[in-house]
Amino acid sequence: MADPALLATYLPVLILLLIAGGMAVWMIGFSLVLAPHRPDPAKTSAYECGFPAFEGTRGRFDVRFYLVTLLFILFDLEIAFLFPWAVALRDIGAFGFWSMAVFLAVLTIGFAYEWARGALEWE
Amino acid sequence: MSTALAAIAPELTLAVMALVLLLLAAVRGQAAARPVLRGGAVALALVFAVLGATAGAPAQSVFGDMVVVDVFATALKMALVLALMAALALSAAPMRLDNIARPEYPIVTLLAGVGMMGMVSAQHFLALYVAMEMQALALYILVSSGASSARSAEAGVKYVLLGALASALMLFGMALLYGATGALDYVTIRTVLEGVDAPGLTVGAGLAFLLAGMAFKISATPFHMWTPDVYAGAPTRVTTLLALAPKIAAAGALARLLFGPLEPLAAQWVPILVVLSVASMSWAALAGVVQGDLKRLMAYSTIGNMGYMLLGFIAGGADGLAAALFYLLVYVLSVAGVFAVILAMRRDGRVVTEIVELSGLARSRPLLAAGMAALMLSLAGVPPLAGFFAKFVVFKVLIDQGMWLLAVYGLLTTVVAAYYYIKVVKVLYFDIPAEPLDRAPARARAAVLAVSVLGVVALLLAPGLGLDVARVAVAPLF
Repeated sequence: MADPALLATYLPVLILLLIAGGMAVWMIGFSLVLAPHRPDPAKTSAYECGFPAFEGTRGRFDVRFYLVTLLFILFDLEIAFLFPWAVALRDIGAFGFWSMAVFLAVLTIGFAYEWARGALEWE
Repeated sequence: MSTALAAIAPELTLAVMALVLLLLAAVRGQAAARPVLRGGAVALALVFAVLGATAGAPAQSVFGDMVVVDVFATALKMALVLALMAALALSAAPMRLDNIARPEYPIVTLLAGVGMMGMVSAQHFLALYVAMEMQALALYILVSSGASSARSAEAGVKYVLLGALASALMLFGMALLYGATGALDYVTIRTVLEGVDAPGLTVGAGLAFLLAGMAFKISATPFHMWTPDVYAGAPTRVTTLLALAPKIAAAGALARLLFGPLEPLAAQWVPILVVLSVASMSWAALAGVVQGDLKRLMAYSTIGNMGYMLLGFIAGGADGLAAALFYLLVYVLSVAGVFAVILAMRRDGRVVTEIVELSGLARSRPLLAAGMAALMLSLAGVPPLAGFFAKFVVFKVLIDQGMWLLAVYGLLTTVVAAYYYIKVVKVLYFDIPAEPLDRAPARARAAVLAVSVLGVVALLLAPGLGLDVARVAVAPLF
């Protein structure tokens, strides 16, 4: 269906997959073989963001956790956008620079808003 | 670049104003509620002026053909801005009376407006999707904005979950069409599809998924399930917005899709639309009969009216689409007035929405009752009100295309649906009067109701005018 030349451009992805899989096998395999094993309940239980992994789904928690998580994701994404932008800045020129400037300005206004409205105050 | 920015000046104006108002809300806090509402109205007026100034400009595609600005887009955006203005105007009084005035409400409404305006200008699957998500996210927030109301929260969760499902279906459809045609922009997709003799399974499935997502947005049966619950659960001021603006945006986006890239597939999508339309008309007529809550009734009214609007799409061609657009605008005009009345329904400071609460309103509030009665009769399609002309035009284009059966079926469902519209009139005029409703002065509400009722009645003077405007508006698509 697809021509080989097109498929060849995906070779780096295949290599990445192989390396990632190899690394995972390598790290888990060696720690299984070489590391000392002295399990206790705290060590073997699944780690889930500070909560017990399995419990009733109707438990309540403070909505502020949710807010902080949301903000974290927002700024995390901002960084994720900034890296490729910084790498490509030479090629995308003034237009690219100002596009990001507008994006950051919008984010900053949102940040100013949530700060002024007290979303970041814990007490 | 500057031409591109000039082309989207209305959207930019709205977005920038929303950000300025957000800063104002940040600085002044709760006290900014009133200035922000006024600012929102000013922003919309400004956008309307910008749209009016550029209405005659030649069509142009900008941002790598992702966005198109033509008469169709401009006309729908003007209608959108008016709908948003009506929704904002109607929101002022209830929020003041319930003491829940918040600056965020107008700001999120404006941001939803930016998304909706993007939808009618989108000429690329990605632009369409981004615009659609922008309005949807803003609407999710508004639906669940009822102050500490469990029903509002429930409506919000339902809307988010089903909305996400619809978005996923639509994205999947877009992905399939991309896989089949290798393009995301409307022009290329159309060229590729025109070269295909018999569209394969990929194209067919892509089309079906895409239409399913769009049907959700215009709440056509069988994708309507969210509508009554969300309409009833959301605060009435938000229901007003939901009933008006997103329908214009979604119908505009649907028209661009069906008469743009998907035009070569007309043989495939006409049967789908027939099913959607017949199901919507039938289900809304039957289920509407047993509704006791006015907001739920209006939800079924929306579903039915979208079914009639789709008849115009089915008839096809410039005439069919013009009829559909005319129908949509008449629907929006009438519904704005109906919600102005629903928002006036308060007793002892509490919001009431049951139809029986209107009993004998003609005795205590003759003007309000007369307005409501005129709008209900118009929605039922009683001549010589606007709703009659709208239905007439839609049925006429169907008959011109030789689709007699569909026109007759539409007519029959109109008769069934007339029962619940006329029942409201009966309750208004002939039932034993209930306790009178609260009298709260609200000039904005009176203005919206007056414009709506006068518009619905005055169309009699120039029945052809609205249709002529619709014809000019849809011309760029053909």
